[in-house]
Amino acid sequence: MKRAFPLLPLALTGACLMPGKATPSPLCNFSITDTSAWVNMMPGPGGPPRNLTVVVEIEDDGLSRRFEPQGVDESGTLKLDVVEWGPKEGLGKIVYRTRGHQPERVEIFCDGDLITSTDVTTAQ
Amino acid sequence: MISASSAYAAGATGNGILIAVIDTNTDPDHPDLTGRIVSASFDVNAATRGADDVDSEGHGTLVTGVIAANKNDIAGHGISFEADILAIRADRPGSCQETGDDGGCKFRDADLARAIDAAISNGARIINLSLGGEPDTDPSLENAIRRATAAGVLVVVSAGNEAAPAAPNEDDPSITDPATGTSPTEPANIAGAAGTLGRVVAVGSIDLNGVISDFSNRAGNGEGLNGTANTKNYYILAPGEGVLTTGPDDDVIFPDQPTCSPGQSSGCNDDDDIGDYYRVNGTSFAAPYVSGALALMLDVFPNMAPEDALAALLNSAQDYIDNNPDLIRGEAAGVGVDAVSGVGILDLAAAFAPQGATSFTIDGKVQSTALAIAPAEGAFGDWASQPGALGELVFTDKFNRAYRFDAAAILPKGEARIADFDQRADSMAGQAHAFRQGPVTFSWHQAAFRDNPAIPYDEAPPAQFTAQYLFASGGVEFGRGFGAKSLAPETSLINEAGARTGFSDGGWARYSHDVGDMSFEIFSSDDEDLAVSGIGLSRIQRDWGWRAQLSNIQDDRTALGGYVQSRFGGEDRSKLSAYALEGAWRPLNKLRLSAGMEAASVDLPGVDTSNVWTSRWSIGADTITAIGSLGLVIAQPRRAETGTLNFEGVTGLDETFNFITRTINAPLTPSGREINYEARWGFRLPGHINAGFTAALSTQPNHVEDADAASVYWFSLSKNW
Repeated sequence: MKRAFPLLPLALTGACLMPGKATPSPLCNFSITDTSAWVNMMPGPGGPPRNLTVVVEIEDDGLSRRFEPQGVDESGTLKLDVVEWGPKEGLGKIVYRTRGHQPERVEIFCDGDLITSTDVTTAQ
Repeated sequence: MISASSAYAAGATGNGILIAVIDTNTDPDHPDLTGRIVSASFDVNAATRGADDVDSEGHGTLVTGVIAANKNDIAGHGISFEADILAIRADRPGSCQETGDDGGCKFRDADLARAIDAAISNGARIINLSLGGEPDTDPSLENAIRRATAAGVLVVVSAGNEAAPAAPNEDDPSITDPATGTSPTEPANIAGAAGTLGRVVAVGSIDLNGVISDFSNRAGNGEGLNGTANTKNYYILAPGEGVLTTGPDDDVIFPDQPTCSPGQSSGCNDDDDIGDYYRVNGTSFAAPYVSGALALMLDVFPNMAPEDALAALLNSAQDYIDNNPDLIRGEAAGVGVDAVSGVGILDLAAAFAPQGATSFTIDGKVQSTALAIAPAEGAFGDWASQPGALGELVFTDKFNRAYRFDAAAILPKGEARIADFDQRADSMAGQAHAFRQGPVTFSWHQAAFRDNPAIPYDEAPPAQFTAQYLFASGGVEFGRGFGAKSLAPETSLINEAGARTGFSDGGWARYSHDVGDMSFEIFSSDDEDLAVSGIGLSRIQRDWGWRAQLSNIQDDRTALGGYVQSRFGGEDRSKLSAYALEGAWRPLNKLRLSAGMEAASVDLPGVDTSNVWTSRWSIGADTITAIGSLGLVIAQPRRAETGTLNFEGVTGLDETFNFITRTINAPLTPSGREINYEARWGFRLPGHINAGFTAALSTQPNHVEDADAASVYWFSLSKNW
């Protein structure tokens, strides 16, 4: 199910509404240093946890961010939107953790634009 | 990445080391595992296992390949490619067939405990557990591991793939879920815990760039149920991303893919039904790197205690340093052991190198190998690095591992003994006086004092003098420095190790008594720790002369200018009984030829030597021509020609890994022969200025055959007033 894009944070930042998007909003104006996504499939007493973790490491610009999931499409691609967050844990990295999804690929969007994507690896 | 080649160069293959892989099923028919899986391999749940109950992911086969895939022309090979694998299947029957969110292979603690006990009873030296989960309160698995360690078995456990940074709660983003995987999962968290005897290790993962994997559980600092801060001292990193290893046939892993048509290579399965190869990720594949490394260690060093084999890996790990806050723990991976990276990255080259203090056992006494490492100098030159000498010995490190002492590579060559130019310059700039009154001659020389403000209370060089009194049938001479004049020529720019130089400040005396044309002499000199005394017979004429001498030389500071006793913890000393003959002849008015030779029997106090003899010789020519005075000297410093040093040393291990001690008769002769050449030219310049040019070449310095020749030049201008 497609979720509504949170407008309040964007309205607060304002810049995303600039005509022609010539200048990205502060929310989307970040530099990515690393992107990874994996599912933990290590066998053990409780079986493979199957936890999916997506981590986008970015230059810390003082803005806290998180992902808002937009679902998995028919090709097995999980789509995540970048949104504002408050806690310090959202500084310098954007993290998404869930259990149950096993997508083959993750695409990251910000302000409607695809900013990066990565294959999901399996960690056994 | 883990520098395994140095271990292989040492002959390590894991041969004869039994490793228990407790996992899902392992394919014994995989072409690269043929011969590696022992027949005692079994399934702890065989009685209730269905025929079609296989792990389609092939986890056991993947793990086994990292340890022991054969070394052949097919793909890569395992770390310990000749190790034996006891494959014990222990997953709960049917669990690998389960699907959905809770599907996948599961292990009951009781099954794992039974598998561990079976590994112990089958004689496994190492147990690999590439599995883990949330810590619980059931101690049965931990107790089984403790039983294994008590039986001398090493246990290697994956640290887990549960690492994830703090993140918003999936259902309520206003809640922050804390980071996970900050310390190893169970049972890896038992590493370093009480009762494990230093025989359990947790293994985290690094990527192909040597960076800790995002998913890898960190070393921790005692967090979590049953956690202990000591675990980080037993946590090591090994490759866990992009690992190439053996796996099931592609028809098993990808049952829905079609068989490849001719020319097709992707998106399809090959048409055979034998195992294939895969690149895989996870700490499941980091742990077998360490299991294999331990097998290599136990193979090459069979006398090592199991905990020492593990300690050798842990202590030699490459420190993992990242000053940026860790993604999972939020703290830096600092210098030394830390809660992020534990001891650091597995480094087999360092692990196989000697660690800590190293020592020999010589004549029943243990001594540091550092003592043996002295440069090649003096009459014995590089004897210690020659075949049959110190290279015969083995030494041990702090883990009591035995290594051959590679004397030829370790022992340094000495430097050519070039004369001290400052000393010569000071001497030339000094004052010299002499007078003669009847039968008495006295000369005195004081070298210039070069005041060095960096040295307080620096003393001026002592004055040198010579006094001579001649009477009708002989004479008396004594002095300090210089030494009595000899007929044999000497080089001036190359000093002889262990011999006095013209700048020595010791005293000397000589008494001579003429009997007909012959002259009998007795002489003595004492220069700090170098004493010479003896008798001589000479005949000196206007155009020729000769002298024969028998002398005792006692050097209390060196072994003929080099190192023998000190390499065994003693003090270098030497005593010589020298037989010398020298002579000079003027065949022409302006030409003087001279020569000298010496043979000496040598005793080295404090060590057992036999038949040590040295030689020493020099020849020279001096002439005066229209362009000035010319001189040439060719000299061989004292050199050992025969002799052996006899001692008891540990030279190897026997079949039961006990040290073998035998008598070593080490030749004391060096590899080369130092020959020094010196040419001198003296001439006058206007204004009564004396000019001198001296050039010297020393070949095979210190009697080391492959030592670089050294050359030196000296130019001087002097004017007397």
